Amino acid sequence: MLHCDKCDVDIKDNINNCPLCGRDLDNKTQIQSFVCYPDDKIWISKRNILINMLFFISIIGVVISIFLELLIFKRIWYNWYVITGEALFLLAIIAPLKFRWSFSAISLIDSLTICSYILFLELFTHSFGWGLNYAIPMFLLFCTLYTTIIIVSRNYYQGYDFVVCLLVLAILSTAIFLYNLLSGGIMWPSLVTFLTSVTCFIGFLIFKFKKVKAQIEKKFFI
Amino acid sequence: MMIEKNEDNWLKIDNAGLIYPSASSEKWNNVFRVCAYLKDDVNPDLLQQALNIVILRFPNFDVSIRRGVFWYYFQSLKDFPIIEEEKTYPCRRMEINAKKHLFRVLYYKNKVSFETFHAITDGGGALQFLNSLLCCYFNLLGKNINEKELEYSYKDKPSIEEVEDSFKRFADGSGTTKRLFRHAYQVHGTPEQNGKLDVITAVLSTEKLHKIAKEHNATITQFLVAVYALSIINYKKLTIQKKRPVVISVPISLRKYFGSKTLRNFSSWVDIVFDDKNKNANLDDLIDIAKEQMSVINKDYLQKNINMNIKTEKNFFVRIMPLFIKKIALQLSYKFFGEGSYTTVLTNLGKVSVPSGFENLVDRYDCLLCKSIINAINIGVISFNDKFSITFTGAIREHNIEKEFCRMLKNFGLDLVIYTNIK
Repeated sequence: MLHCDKCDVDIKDNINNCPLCGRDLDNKTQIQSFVCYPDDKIWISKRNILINMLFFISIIGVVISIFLELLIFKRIWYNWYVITGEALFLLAIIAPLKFRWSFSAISLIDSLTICSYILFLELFTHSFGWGLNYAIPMFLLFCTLYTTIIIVSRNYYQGYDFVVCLLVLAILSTAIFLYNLLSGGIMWPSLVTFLTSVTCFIGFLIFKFKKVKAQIEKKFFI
Repeated sequence: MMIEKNEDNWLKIDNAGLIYPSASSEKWNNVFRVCAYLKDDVNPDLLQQALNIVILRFPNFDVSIRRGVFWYYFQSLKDFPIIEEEKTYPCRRMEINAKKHLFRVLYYKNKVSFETFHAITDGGGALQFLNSLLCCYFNLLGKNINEKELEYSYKDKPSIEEVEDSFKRFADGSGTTKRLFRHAYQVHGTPEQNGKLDVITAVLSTEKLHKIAKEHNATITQFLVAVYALSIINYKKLTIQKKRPVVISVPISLRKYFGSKTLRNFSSWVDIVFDDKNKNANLDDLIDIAKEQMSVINKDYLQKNINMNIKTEKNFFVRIMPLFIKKIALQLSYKFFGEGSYTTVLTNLGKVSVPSGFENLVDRYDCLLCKSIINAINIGVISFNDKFSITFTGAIREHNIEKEFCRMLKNFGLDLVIYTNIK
C-alpha cells in the first residue's frame, strides 16, 4: 500500500501519483495497476464516428452544390432537389442510425418521407398526374404488403410492433383514395391500395384482436 | 432446462423514471452503479447461473425501453441478460433503444457490479437486486446463506406491490410543494476525454465517523453534507461565480415513509442551500444549516412532493404532447431546471442489510453515481459492517474538492484508504 504524505492517506492502487493532490508517490515498482478498476480502455463508438462522417460529407456536398449553382447561375433552382434529397437522406438514413430507431419506426418514417418526397417532386416540377395517382399509391401498396408479411411472420422483429405502421398506412391510403375520388384523378391504384391496407388491418383486428389491441394500447397510452 | 420467458408484457414507466429516457442523449444518460467487493475472486459461470435465476424473480428489471406515441414504456424481454467482464470505466452510457436489458452485471477480480439505467429503479431497488444476486451466487458456491433473510428473496414469487408505481398509489391530491428555481453554483474544470468517469473512493470506519457526527449532534448524512459544502465553498472562493448558492441535493428513499415494497423508482429529494452569506461559516454553522433544512423531511412534506410529481404527469397538455416534442422539452428542463438548480448530489444508501453469513464473504459495498450533464462531481455513500465508503465520481480532471473533503475528514482523526481509477 502506498502513502501520500501531503494528504496523509493510504492508497491501495499501485499508481505513481496521489489521485487527490497529484503528488509523486515514490512508487518504486512503477507499474500502474488498479485494485478496484481495470486499466480502462477509453470507450469510443466507431459507429458514431462513421455516422458523423456521413452526416458531415453529405452537408459539405450540399453546400458545394449550392455554391456552384450560385456561382454559375446566380440563383438556387436545381439545388432544391439536392436540399430535399439531403433532408430525405437525413430522415431516412442518418436519423435511424444515429438514434437507433426500431425497425418498425424506420419503416414508418421512411414510408412517410419517401411519400413526401414524391409529392414534392410532383409539385415542384409541375408534372401533375403521376405522383398522387400512381407513384404514392403503388409505393404505399408495397409498404402495406411488406408490413403485412412481417406481422404474419411475427418471429421477425417482434412483428406486432408493425401494427401501428399498418394503421398509419391504412389511414394514409384512405386519405389518398378520398383525394383522388374527390379530385377526379386516376382511381384504380389508390383504390387497390386502400382496399388492401384496410382489409389487412381489419383482418388483423378480427383474427388477432387481443394482440392488436394490446399493441395499440401501449403505443398510444396517454 | 432453460425457462421460456414471455415477451408480451409491458409496463408504464413510473413517475420518477419518466424523465430519464427523455433526458437521455447520444452522449449521456443516467446510469448508476452499486457494487460489492467479495473476499474471493468471482466465478463468472456461477454468477451467470445466479443471474439467470434471479432475473425471473425481478420482472421489472427484465425489460427494455420502447417508444410509444406519447410516452416511453417498458417491454419485457425474451433473452436472458449476460454478465460481462469489466473492461472500461464505470457507469458508461447505456444504449436505451437497443431492445436490450437496461442494466449490466459486471465482474472484475473480486468485484460484482450492478449498473442500471435510472428509469428502471433507484439506489434502494438496485441494492436489493444485487443482494439477491449475491445470495443466489453464494448458495451456488455452496455457502448456505439463508435467502429468507433477504428483504426480497430470490426464491419468492414476484408480487404486484414490487412492480407498482408507488407514486400513483400514494398520491392523494392533498396539496403540492412549490418548487423554487434557482441557479446554483456549478463546479467547472477540464473535462475528461471521451466521457471517462473519474472515481475516487475513500473507505473509513463507520463507527468512528458515526462517533464524530454524534459529537457534532448530527447524523452522518448531515455531517457529510456540511463537510462537502465547506469543501465546495472553499473551492468556490477561488472562482468567479461567487454569488450563486452552493446547493447539495440529497435523495430520500420514500419506501420507509410510506411502507412501500416497490422495486421501481420511489424516491424524492431535498435541496440543502448554502447561500453566499455562509461563505465564512465554519463547519458547525454549516451542520446547523443542513440540520435545519433537512428537518422539513417528514411524511407531509414528502406527500406534497409526490402530489407535485403526479400533478405534472397528469397535466393534460403534457399528456397529449407527442413524445418527440416532450423529449426536447424534458431534455431542456432537466438540464436547466433540474441539474442547473443544484451544485451536486450526495446520496446515502445507508447501512446495507444482508443475511447472516454475508459478512464472511463480502468485504465492502460502493455506490457510484454517473457523471451529470452539468454537475461536475457527485458523491455516493454506503456502509457495510465497519466499512464506510464515500465515492466521488466526476468528469473533470481537477480533484480539489475531493482533496479538501478528505483533508477535513483526516483532521477529525479518521483514517482513509483511497481507491481510484485515475492514473
